[in-house]
Amino acid sequence: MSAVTSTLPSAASASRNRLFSRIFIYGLLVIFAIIYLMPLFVMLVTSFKTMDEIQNGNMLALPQSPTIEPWFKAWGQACVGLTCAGIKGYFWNSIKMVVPAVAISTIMGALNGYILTKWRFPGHTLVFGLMLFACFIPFQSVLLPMATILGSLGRFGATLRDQIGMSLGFGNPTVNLVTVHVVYGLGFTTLFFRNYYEAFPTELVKAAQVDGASFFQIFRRIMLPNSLPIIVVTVIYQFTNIWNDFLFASAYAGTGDSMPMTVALNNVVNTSTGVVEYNVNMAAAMIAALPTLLVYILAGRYFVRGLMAGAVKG
Amino acid sequence: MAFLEISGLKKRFGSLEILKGINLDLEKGGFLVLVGPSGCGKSTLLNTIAGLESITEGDIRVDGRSIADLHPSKRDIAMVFQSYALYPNMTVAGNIAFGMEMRGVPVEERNKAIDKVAKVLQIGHLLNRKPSQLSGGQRQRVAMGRALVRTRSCSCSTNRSPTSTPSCASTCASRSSGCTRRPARRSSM
Repeated sequence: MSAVTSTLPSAASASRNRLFSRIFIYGLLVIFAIIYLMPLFVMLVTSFKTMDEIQNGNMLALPQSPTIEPWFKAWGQACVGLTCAGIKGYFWNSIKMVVPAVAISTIMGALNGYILTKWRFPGHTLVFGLMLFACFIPFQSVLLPMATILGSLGRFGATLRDQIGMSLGFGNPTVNLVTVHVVYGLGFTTLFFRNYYEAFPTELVKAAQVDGASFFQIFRRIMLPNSLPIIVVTVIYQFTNIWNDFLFASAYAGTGDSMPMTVALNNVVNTSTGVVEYNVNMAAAMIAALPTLLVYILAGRYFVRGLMAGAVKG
Repeated sequence: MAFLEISGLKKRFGSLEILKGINLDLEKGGFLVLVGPSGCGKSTLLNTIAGLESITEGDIRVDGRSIADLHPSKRDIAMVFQSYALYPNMTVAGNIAFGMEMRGVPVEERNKAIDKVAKVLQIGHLLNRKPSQLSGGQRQRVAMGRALVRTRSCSCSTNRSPTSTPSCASTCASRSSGCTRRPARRSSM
């Protein structure tokens, strides 16, 4: 009898404990989710309101008469500095700058990782260590030296233009930004690929050597096709960082027609004349954030797991 | 003169001498099995013959010709790796044909060679599968097929566990001069 009474309460209290801890965990998750998503919610909701609603109403309230007008205005009519042609031109500037920067830094990082792991040379640890330093450099500290270098490149471009009629891109602000991002992204991309290729079976490279494949054939036919997971990771990482970068963008391409998205957005929001159009600003910010969101949605699908399964036994 | 002659072969890794002067003669059509405890240098010897490791001292001659300084792909040697080393991104046919593709063999000849090897090894129905879709024994046969498809002077194979079917192995042995069986803990040439 005492055995029965002693087991029943503990079973009930055990399940009650589980219920409480579950409520606690989910409660905590919901609170944090709300905290993180609140700004996004406010941005979305504000971008669909009219100015009257914003000025008279609650920040968190849903729009009474939703309108898509602010989005069109942000895209085509918002004022950046003196020109009022919207942010669409600057959006395109960002794309023109980000795509080459991501592509070049990813490919070079892959090549570096390949060499550092599969074609070890004396001093490879030191070289890798030095490249790793690039990951820890605070970018603010290299603004001035980089500006000097870019200035020299620009003067070289002017000389070229005088001699052969074209500057071959030297001195072009977009090209300058791409160069800067490639240089400072190389540390990270090399790190990613080097760690991935370290775990890549070297026997595959040896088998390809016996088959007669050259350095670049092995890279193109064996290493790259099997690197999809790390390519996705690197592309997402680089795209997000380069797209969102404001420091280099404002320092090296901060004026004129080649301004990237981030600088243009800053100018739109910080306009000191007239009424501050919150709905247009929010819409512009949402447009600026869309590409990175899209990259996550699309590229997340391509994590190919188990690609290596089967080639190497055990 | 023997077909494969190894004379005074020494291999050192830093201060550690693994191969201490190997002398070996193998006749044409011969079959050599190396047996020994773990770490005695069986795989190292095979790797030096294949060209994946350099030699510290000594010479390797195939058919009278010294191959010690040649790139592995120029030594006319086929190799089956311990872990098969099948290229995961290519089909079975692609795996077998890769060496021929690198050497510039035309497509029709490649396909003929693949079909011949596939018939011997009974992997014809697997040609369009990727390595991850094969069983252990099938992968082993694909690895052998990749080695067999080379017109080669000798084949090297390191293996540790008997996973291939005995009938297949004996068929291979009867049809080529270098095909290997898969006894435990042996290296074969």
